[in-house]
Amino acid sequence: MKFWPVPYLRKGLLVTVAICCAVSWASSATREGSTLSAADETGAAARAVTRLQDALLEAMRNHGSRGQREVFLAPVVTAVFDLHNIARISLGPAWRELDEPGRADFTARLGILITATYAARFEADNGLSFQILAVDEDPRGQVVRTRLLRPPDAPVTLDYFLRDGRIFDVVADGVSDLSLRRADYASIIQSRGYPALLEDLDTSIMKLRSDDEI
Amino acid sequence: MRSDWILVVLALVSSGCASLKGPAFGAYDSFEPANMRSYAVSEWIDGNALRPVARGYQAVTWGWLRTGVGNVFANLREVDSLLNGFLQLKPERGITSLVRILVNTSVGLGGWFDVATPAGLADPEEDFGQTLAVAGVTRTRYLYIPVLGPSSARDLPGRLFHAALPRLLLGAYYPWWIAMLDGINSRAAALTLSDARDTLALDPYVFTREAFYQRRKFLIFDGNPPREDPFAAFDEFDDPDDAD
Repeated sequence: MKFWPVPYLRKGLLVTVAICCAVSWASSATREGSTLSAADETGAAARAVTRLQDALLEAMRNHGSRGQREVFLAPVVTAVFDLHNIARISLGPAWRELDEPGRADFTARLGILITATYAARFEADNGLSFQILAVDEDPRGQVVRTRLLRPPDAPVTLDYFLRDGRIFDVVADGVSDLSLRRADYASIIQSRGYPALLEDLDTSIMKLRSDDEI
Repeated sequence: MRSDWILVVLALVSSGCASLKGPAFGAYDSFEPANMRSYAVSEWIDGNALRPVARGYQAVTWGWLRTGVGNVFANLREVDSLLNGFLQLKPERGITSLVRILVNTSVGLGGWFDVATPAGLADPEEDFGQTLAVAGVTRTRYLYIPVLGPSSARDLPGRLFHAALPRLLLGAYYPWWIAMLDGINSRAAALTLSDARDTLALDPYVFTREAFYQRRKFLIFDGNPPREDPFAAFDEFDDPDDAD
């Protein structure tokens, strides 16, 4: 029985110390000149994710209806998500076929969908909480590694991928939201065309807003 | 009899993974028409039988009861993780499973309480499909199995073994009605996930397939898949015409 507690406690302590160092290092970084340093970007990435997660907890605790939560979360989603690039990558080749108003329309719908999804999924405060585990550098930017704690169920790992301080992908237990979106949308465009995709997105938003769907 | 089963497993894995060219851990849906039919049948059975029963079960039982029942069967099935941790030459993961089983069975009262996870011993979640992947079977054809759900030629034998483990371990102490309780409890635990998928997915078949392959890759690499450029497949990401 000597085996199990000691190495894990030691490992946990090391991880905690590492996270504290990373977070304090990130948060103490200051801007020098107009170019963001690596430390600035790491700090900006951690701040963006913290802002989103704090807003989700606040929405659950203090905003009773889905409509209220959506209104509260909308500016946060717009600020912390890189909606333009999420829209572009989600649509893939179809993005090139759209004119500027079409692109803006699709990007706006995606923002509404993401907001409505969060408003629907983070409904009841059943002791949910988030933990930031680490902020890593990535070839395209940063990865903020977090966990969603939801006792008594097992925690969910949530990795946020960011570029220029804004989130472009959320990977939950290894499943990428952006990759799923891309495959899902490509399938609809291929089988029924782009207008059908827009109709389906609107239907999804309506479903998320109705109380009895989830 | 045992050698027959080994032959069946080998035949399934080799035929389902042979002649696949493309990226490792990619989605290979060579049997898409058949898989889509199987998916439609499964959805019909789920929507008309399994899901209503699971919802009814959820409505008349307490959360702690469902968690306890789920923990007992998960504890039995952890033998799968134990065996495959060692088969993958990852003794630390096999030992973790062994300690989890011992702790949860004793302190956790027959597995009713998962006391190992809060103590820092998370379930390593190893299985035979992952063992085959570690051994080099990194490309595999997608199979949608009626009722069981998404799987692949590589993962199906391990999936069946995993499902059958309580019966193999308990024999007559795992009668049909306990098996039904196990199945209904599992389906009830997955309700939130399936409801979310139904709301979020525009094409649930494709959504399920992509999520399956991504999740398997995550598990194969023990929750730490190789650090790749997340936009390697998105060549338009840095297209200067489209950049902000």
